[in-house]
Amino acid sequence: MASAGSGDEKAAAAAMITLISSDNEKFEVTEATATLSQTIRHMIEDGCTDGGVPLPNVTSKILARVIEYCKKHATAAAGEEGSSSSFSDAAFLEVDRAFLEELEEFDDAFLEVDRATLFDLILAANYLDIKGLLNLTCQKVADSVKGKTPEQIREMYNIVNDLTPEEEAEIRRETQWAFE
Amino acid sequence: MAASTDQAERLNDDVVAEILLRLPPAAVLRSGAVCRAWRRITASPAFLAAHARRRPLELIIKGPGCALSTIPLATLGDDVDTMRRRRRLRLRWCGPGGGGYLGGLLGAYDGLLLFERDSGCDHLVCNPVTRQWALLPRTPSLWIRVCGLYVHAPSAEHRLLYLQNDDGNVPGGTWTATHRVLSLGGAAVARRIGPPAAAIEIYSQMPGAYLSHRGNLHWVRHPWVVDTDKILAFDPVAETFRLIPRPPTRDQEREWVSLVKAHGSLAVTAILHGSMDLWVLEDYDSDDSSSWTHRLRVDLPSPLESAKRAVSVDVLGQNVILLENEHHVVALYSLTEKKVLKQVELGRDIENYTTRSTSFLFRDSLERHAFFDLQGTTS
Repeated sequence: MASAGSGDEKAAAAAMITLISSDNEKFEVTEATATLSQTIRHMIEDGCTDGGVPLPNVTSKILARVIEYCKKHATAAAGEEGSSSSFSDAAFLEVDRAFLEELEEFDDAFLEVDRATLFDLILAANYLDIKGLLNLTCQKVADSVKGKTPEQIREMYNIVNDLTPEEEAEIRRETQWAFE
Repeated sequence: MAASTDQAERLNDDVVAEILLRLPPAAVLRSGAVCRAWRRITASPAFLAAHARRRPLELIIKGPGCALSTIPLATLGDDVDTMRRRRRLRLRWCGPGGGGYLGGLLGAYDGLLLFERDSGCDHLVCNPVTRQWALLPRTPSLWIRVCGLYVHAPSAEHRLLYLQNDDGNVPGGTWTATHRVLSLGGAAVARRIGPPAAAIEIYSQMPGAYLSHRGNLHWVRHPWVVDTDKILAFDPVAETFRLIPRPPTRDQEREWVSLVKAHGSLAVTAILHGSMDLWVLEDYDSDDSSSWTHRLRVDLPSPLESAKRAVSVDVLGQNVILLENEHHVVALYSLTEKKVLKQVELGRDIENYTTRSTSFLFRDSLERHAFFDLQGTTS
């Protein structure tokens, strides 16, 4: 069994949740880590987590990575709670700059995955409703699309162009400047 | 779950929308030409509205000449980078009487800019991102004074509120004028609203920018409330006006008063020789001036002692305002922390001291409006 956080004394004292991947692997995580997922948070609130939380849409390979992300960010989330404005966040940033830099490095390293894994992470983040992870992974894809032409985007992501030549010409004509 | 491949087809519409929301406007339009699904997503009004909400809030700056640019407020800093990152707005009007002199910028309303041309004879609405223009119908009157462009919530229609002169010319340089509402993209005829005409001085009494709060528009500078101790409020749904008493500030003659949002309420900043008071209206529905509480008096830090007007930028954080001094220094000031959060000197980079703030805020929007479709686009 892959267990997450069980060695941590503080975590051992906290409530633990068992997550079950699509290939039936069990992961034990703290409630603080699990509730970065809004989907799981709602399940806990509804008291539906006894006997583990089955996640039929997430494989053990991806769930392990998602938990890795949540464990790292659960601490950061605890610090951000209670700050209402973006500028309070900025003040918080100064206090714990080193930790946030470390978090940024973690995120950068976390994103060094092949495209298939990146898509799996996006789908998992969407299904589990983990805002930070969805933002991180979607931004990565958005950055790769940003400066590209439609042809380049199709090629990069194996997308079949099902627009008729007339439709495509019409779209280009509408906002020609965007294609120049 | 679909097999782990790098085919983008595995991603459902929700997830593709999440990705495309993070693109700048031109890239959103390009992705609409990738395939049918992406076209469907990027053309949906809900997507375009969400995309606009995510775009950073920017300050419109002017100069050199009449050129307009924007600088993002969240990354405003006291360095030359802020000015290097400025973005020129594309403003080439090629419609009827085209290419002509584009007069003053009268206001900015999210992604839309309102201009006047030929000394207020014509009014134009423009989206500089989609490069769409709409020439508003000319009024038969001698002059109009624009009070503001707003969205009528029940119909989601954009409407223009303005003052128009009536027939009577009161001796002594004053005119009688009544408010009118024009629906953009609707009937070309404006409706007369509000109480009968009041005598106003048109040249010295231009309506200022309004502050939107609780769905109502508010002016502290408006011909109706000049030299009074009132704030004018307009309810765009009921189409009624209301006079709200001003707070009992120190020196109405000499201080500079602005409407802002603070602590979730309608508030007033009153600046007198570098000293700023903040008054908050505790009970919005009360017509009693004792509903105002004095929350703050601060001496503005150098170089903001010469600041006069404040602009509400509460979307950047609660109780944050924008201040500008006489020498084109723009600053974000926190009323809670009583300090300058960020500041920049406009035109500091390229021997360009003629750059100034318009005090208007802007954000990119690709939202479609019927009033543009009637007029087409310019290249």
